[in-house]
Amino acid sequence: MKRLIVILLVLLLVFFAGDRIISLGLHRMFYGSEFRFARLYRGGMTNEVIIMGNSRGKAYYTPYMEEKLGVSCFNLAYDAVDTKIAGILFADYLDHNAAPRLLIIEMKCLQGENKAHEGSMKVFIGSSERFSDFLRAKSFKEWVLCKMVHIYRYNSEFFLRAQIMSSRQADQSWVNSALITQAILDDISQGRRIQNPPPPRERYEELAEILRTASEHGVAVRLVLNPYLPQYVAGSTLLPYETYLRDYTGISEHVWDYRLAITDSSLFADGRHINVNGSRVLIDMQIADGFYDPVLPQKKQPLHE
Amino acid sequence: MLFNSSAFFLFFGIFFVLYFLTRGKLRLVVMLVSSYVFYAWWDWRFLSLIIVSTLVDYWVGMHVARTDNQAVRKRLLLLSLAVNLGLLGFFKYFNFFIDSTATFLTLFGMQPNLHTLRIILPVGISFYTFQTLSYTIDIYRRNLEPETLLLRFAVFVAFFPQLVAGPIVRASLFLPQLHQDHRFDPQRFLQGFTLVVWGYFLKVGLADSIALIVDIVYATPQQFTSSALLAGTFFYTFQIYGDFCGYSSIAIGIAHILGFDFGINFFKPYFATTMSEFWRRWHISLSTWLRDYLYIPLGGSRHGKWHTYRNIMITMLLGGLWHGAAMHFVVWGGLHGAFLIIQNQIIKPYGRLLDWLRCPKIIRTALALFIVFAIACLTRIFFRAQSMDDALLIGKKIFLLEDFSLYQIRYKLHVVKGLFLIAFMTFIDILDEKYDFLFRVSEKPWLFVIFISVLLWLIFLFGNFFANAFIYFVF
Repeated sequence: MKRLIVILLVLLLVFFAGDRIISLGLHRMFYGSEFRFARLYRGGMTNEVIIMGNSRGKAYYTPYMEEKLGVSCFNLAYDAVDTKIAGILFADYLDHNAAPRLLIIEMKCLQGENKAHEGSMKVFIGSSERFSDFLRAKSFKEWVLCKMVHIYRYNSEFFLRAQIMSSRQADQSWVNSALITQAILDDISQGRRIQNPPPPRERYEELAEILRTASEHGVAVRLVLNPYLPQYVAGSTLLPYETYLRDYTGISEHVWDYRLAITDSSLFADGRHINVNGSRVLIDMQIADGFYDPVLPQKKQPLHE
Repeated sequence: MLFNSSAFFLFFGIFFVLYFLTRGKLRLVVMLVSSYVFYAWWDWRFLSLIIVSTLVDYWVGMHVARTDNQAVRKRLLLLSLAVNLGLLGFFKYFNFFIDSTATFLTLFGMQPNLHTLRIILPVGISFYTFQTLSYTIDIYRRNLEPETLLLRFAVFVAFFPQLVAGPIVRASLFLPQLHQDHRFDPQRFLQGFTLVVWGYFLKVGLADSIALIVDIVYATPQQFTSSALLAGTFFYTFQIYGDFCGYSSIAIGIAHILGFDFGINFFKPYFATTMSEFWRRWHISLSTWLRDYLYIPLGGSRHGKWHTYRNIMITMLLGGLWHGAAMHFVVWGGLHGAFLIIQNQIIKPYGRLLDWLRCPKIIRTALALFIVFAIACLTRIFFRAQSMDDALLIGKKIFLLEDFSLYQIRYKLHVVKGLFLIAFMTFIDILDEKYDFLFRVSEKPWLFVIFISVLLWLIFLFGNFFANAFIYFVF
């Protein structure tokens, strides 16, 4: 019996010692990577434009934007990120990096609440009080587990992503380069349409919070809706986001609506996402429309619009 | 109650203390009450089914043993079969037979107006039904003496580690062990603990973390390319192994800690080199049950080739139906039956062909492993698909090689993670096949400490902690 107790005590000791040592290594691996969120928390960036949103926001191809605009751009969008998480990321970005001149928000991040990413955010609880509080409120058990077993913090999609990104110069070229497949086109032609329930009021309030934070730091904001493949939204009601925002929060902010701006299906990766060529076309279109005027040297404007 | 829920850890902690503090009948009471609490955690109403099954088989067992009148014995056995299979048939197969009858009648131009019922499938009913049936059949065959103490028999039926998803433990194995008062044995604890942690690694670390790669393609297969569907099917082959073998490992490990030996339920099935070997390694407690209580009574291989093939096919079709009341499970069983028959037919000429080609042994083995794995993997399409239509669509897309672009393989990060975990599991399985590693690792304390730590680190780093139910709960 004494032998069993000794073995179990040694097991506990080895497990926790290993946990702390391995998690230190994992910490270095994560924050040493070029993954967008790792760079955010590493800090010290001076970007003039940042982009937030979900996978549709991710479609902004920043190398092309930088080439065209001549300013440093950084894409902070990520698949299925919602306004709550975007708000925390933006506030943390301002804590660790210089405030940008322009914040672009792809409005589709108002849609829904992605529970999977709530779990993935635990990788930041050592770096962000906001995410720590967020996790504690969402899942106290998981928060306690993170505090006890540090390895568990790295049980996150973001950590896996960072390991792939770390071998690259940057993850900023991470834009879908695929061409929409015939199977998807067939599916759409057979009647598959966008699922577009109106976002709840709570999401608009979270968006309003981001707008207030931006305003406090003198950051101009562009609310934007990226293109859909027109056939994919044909016959669907396109939600009046601008009206909802005004009605729910009292904020009147123009929404740049490009939902039907691109018709060529070769510029799409699927019904919801433009591909890298579509991104180039959209950016050119937006430059022509004055979308980037706050950061263009020849048209520098006051920071508050 | 799920093994991978926090409630279970609390439950088991309390049970563990009470179990080793008690002896004799009081311990049996602790075991029975705990097992009923464990089951009632899911739905207390269905405890009544377990109790009915227990009382009927206890009574039948006693009376069958007492009489030498063969006609009475047969009637009593039929009563047990009628009650157990009746409950199973109603709760699991009623709607399936109604639907199948309606479909059959429409083939003859009739428009039957048959109604199905909203029936909840009681968790574990297929497992405890087979367990109690084996008891009465064994007594009828005079292979087993009846249990005279109802309390002990009730524990045999409902003991929580194997109650809801097996292994299906025979009365001849388990009941004699319930007559002993097992004392706490530190070495057994370490051995059982190893099996439990290994089970959690398979379930939480492997199966649940690759489940999303599988779920997304099988939810809407029409949206995915051949490559994505093939990847989903490949990962499902390991998901179901991790899930079910994980459950069995936890159950066997817990029983081992408490002093009971349940035998093994999985023995590295993907290392099989023939289909018959696969079935000797996969869900052993079910395949041996089907062999002993169905295949052999049907005549087994005693009456010539064609009778043997008929018996194989009946056994495998019913084995498929045991898994679920749907045609795609029956087809899955039928395919395995067909491959077993084909194997019987071609194994000798195939061996001669390889001899003639002077094929090295290592290549023969690798080829055999690949063929058996490929069959096990691809027949899973029918096991996992939500309907026959889906299964046929997936099969068609994969076999017609419609589109093998990698673009539509979702969750690529999880694919990489899944491959790593499968490689690790395979490495441990190789060690276990060669050295009985999982059972003997605790003999060397330093190796035990390192191995368990590595498993726990992997579980915490890669596991899915959102308490997914075990796949076999619905069977």
